[in-house]
Amino acid sequence: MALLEIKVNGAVHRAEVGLTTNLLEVLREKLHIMSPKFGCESGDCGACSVLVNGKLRRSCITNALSVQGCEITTLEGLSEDGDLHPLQKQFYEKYGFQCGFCTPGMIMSAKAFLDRNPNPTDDEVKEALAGNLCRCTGYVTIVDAVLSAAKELAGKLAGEPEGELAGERG
Amino acid sequence: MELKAVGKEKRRYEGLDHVTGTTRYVDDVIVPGTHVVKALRSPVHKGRIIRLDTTRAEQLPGVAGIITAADVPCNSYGFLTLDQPVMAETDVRYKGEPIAAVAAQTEDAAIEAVELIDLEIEEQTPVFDVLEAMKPDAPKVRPEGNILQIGDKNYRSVVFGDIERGFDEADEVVESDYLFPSQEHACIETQVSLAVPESDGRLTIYSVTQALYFLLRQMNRILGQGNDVSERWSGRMQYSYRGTLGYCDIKYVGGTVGGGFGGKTDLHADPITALLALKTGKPCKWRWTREEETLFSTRHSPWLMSFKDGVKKDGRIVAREVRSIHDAGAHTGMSSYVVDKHCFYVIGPYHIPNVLVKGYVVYTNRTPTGAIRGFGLTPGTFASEIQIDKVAERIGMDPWEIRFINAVRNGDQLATRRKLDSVYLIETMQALAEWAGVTLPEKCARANSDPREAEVWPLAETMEAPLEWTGGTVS
Amino acid sequence: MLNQRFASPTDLREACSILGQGGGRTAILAGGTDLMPRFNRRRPGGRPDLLLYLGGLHLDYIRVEGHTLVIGACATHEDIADSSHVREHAPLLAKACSEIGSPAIRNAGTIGGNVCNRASFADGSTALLALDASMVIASESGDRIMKVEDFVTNPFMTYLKPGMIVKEFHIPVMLPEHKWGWQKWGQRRGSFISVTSVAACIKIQDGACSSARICAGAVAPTPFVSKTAPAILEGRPLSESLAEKAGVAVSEEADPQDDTRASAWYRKRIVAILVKRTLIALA
Repeated sequence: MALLEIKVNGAVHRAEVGLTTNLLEVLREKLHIMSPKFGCESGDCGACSVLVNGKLRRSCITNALSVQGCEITTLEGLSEDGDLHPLQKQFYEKYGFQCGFCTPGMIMSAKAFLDRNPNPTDDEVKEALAGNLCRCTGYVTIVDAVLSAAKELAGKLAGEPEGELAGERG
Repeated sequence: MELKAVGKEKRRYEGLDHVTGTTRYVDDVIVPGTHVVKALRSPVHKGRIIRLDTTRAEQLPGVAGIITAADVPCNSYGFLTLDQPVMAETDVRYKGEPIAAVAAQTEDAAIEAVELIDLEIEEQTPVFDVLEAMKPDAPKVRPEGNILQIGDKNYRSVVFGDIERGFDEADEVVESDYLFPSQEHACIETQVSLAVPESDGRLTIYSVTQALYFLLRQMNRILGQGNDVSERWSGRMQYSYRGTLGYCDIKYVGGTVGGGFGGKTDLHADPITALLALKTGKPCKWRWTREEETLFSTRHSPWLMSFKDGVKKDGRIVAREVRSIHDAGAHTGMSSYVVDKHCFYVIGPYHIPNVLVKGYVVYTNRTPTGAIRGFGLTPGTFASEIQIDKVAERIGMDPWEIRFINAVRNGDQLATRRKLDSVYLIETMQALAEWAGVTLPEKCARANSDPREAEVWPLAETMEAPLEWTGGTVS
Repeated sequence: MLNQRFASPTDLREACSILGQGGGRTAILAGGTDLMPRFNRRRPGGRPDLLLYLGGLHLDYIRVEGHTLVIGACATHEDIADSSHVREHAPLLAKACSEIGSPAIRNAGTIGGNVCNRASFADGSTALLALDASMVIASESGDRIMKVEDFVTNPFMTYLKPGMIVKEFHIPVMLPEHKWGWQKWGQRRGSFISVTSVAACIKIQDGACSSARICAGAVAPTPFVSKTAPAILEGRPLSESLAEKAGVAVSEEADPQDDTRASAWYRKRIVAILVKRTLIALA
C-alpha cells in the first residue's frame, strides 16, 4: 500500500491505495465522491469521466498513484458559488438525460470539450462525445444541451444577462 | 380553469439530482460495514456438481460468510414456472450459473475466497441451438424435457378458421423464415444489490429492479414465505425476535435505475445479497462487472419464425400459418408469458380468416432470457412486416395497397376472438403516407376503418363478411 | 503486499536498471489504457510486484532535429494530434492518432504503448509503418535503434528484453512530394477499434509514383507493409484502375482472422476497397 494525496474539487484528500488501484475506486469508495460511475471498468463507456489537471480522463483506467498530487474535477466540482454551471442548467432544461447514469460523465466530457472549442458545430459535439455511451436517450437532447450551453457560455462572456431557469418543481 | 400541468412543459423532478451528480443509485448507497459479494459461477455450460467444499474459503481472513444451494430456504422460484434455482444444487444448466457466493470485508478477500472454494464438476454435453434441442435425442437441458408443456401440448396455439381450406383457396403461397437474434440490454448501470439486515429483524434491499412487486413476490418465496427459517441465519440476525421473513419483513427499495429496458425485471443479484445478509448479519453489496452483465444477465431471446401465407391475386391474405420458436435459455423465466403475447399478435393487424400459430418455448444451455422493450412483439412485427412485403412482391402489388386491403377495421374479430371497435389503422397509414410524401393509390386514399358491413368495401373485388368465430381454439 | 513497489523514476537509465533487476512480476505503466483494463479484471495472480511508471521520465517531447521528427514514446495521441510539428512534418501520424479511441483515451494513451501493446489493430503502428519510422530502445548499457517495421511485423520476436524501455520514435520529415492517406474503418464513426485500417505514403514526382509504402492494420496478425502493391504503382501515374489493382494486391497479402468485431471474409474485402479509396484521395 502507498499513500496517495490528490486535490479533488479544490479539497486535499489522502488515501491508502495499492499498485493497481484505479482513480474511480479512490473517488467513490475511499472519498465517497459518487458522481463518477462504474459502467465497464475498461474505459469504454465514459460514465467515469473526470478532469485530471483540466484534461478529460477515464477515472476507471487511470492508475491512482500515477495522478499523485494532481487536481481532479468531478461533476460535484462544476458549479461555482452554488450556481449551476450552464452545462448542468442546459442538460436540465433540454432533458439531456433519461435514467441519468451516463450524465455525470457526459457533462464532464462536454465541459472538457467546450473549454477547447467554445463554438462547436453539431458534428463536432457528436465526435467529442463519441466516447460517452448513453443507452436511453439516442443522444439528440444531449447534443442539444451541449450546443445550448455553448451559447449560454458565450452569452455570459459577452456580459449578457442570463435567462431564467424555466420550469418548476411540482 | 387554469391548468397547471396539462399542456405545460414540465422538467423532470429528479433532473436537478442527475445534473449535479447527487442521484443515489444502488451503488451510491453507503451503509457502514458493507461487505463485498462475489460469486462462484459455473465454468461449464452443462454439468453435474460432484464436490463443493467451502472450508478453505471460509477460513480466509476477512470472509464473513459463504452460501450455497443448501443455504436457500426455497431454491426454486420463477415468474410463473417455479423452476429456477438461486444457486445450482447438483445440475448446472448454463455457463455462469451461480454455485456459491462469498461476503467479505474487501473485494480482494471476496475474490480470493471464491478461488479457494473447491469445486468439482462433471462436464456434460450441452445444446445451444433450439432446433437441435427440439430433436428427441437431444441432450436434456431440463429433466422434464427441452420444450415447455402448455396444457396438453408443447406449444401455445392460436387457431382460427381452417388453415388447409385457406391454402386451398389461395392463388399463391409465400413461405419464409425469419431470425430475430438475441440482444443484450447493455444498460450503463450493471446489476447491483445491497441487502441490509435491520435491527427489527427486517431486511432492506436496495435493488435496481424495474419490477419491484414481481421481484418481491419471488423473493418472498425464496426467503421462506413466512416460515421459520432462522436456523439458517447467523450473526446478529439470530437474535432478532423475528424468526420468519414474510412479505412485510422485506423492505424493497427501488425506483432509481441506471437503465433497465427489461434487463432488470428478473431477479439477478438480490437473492444472493439477501441470503448473505441474513447469514452474516452484515450489509452485503454485489455489483456485477460488465463482463458478468454481458455474459450472464438475462438477454432478449432469439426468435426463429416461419411464415406461410396464402394470398389471392386481389391481395387478400386468406391464410397465415406461423411457427415461432423462442429460446428460453436454461430456465423458464418469463418465457411462458412472452410466448402468449407473441402468439396473440404475431400475425399482425390484419384481417385473415384462416390462422394457425404455434409458439414453442425451447430450453437450451444458454444464458436465461428475459424481457426487453417490445417483449415478444417486436420480433413478430419485424417478421410479419417483411413477410407482407414479400407477399406483395409475389403478386406484383404495391406494399401500401396490400396493407390497406388486409388491414383490420372496426367490427373485425382477431384470431384471438377479440372484437375490434376503435381501430384506425387505415387512417393512420393515410397520415403516414402523407408525411412520407407517398401518393397512395386512389382506393387506398378513399378507404376508412368503418365496419365492413356498413359500406361497400372499396378495395377488394368480393365483399368479405366480418369475421366471426367459425371454429378453432386458442390453447 | 510487502514486496509491492510503485517506482516513478526521473532518469531513463535508472528506470532501465530498476526493470533489469527483475524479481517478481513487473509491469510498465505509461497511459494505462491497455494495462489498467487488464488489472481491473482482477484475475487472481494478476497483480504485479513492481509497477514502473514512466510519467516521471517526461518522454513526451515532440521536436524536429534536422530532417527527423523526434517523438518521445510517452507522447499521448492527443499530444501528437495537436502538435504543429507533427501536423506539418508527419500529418499522417497526426491524423491517425486523432482518431484513436475518444478524447479521454487520447489524453492518456501513448504512441509507445500503442506500438508495444502489439495489437493487430494498432493505428499508431500502422501509421508509423507507412512513415518508415524507426524507434530507439533504451537499456542500461545504452540505446539501440531499429525500424518500427522490424519491431512490429514479426509477431514471434520480442525485441524488448527485461531492462529495456522504448524511448522515442524517429520519423523522416515528409516533403511536399510525399502524398499521404489514412482510412480507418469500423463499426462506428467515433470511439471504435479498427476493423480495417490503411495508411499510405507515396512519393509523387512529375506525375510518377515511387517509394510507395502502403500499410494495413487489423487484417493480419500484425499491421504490415505491402510487399506487392508498391511495384504496381512504381514509376506510373496514380489512376483509379491502378489504385484498384493495388487494393487487390494488399487484400491478397492480408491474412485476417474472425473475431468479435468482424469476420475474416469481410476484412479481406474491405481492405481492398479502403486501399483504393486511400490512394484515390491522397493528400
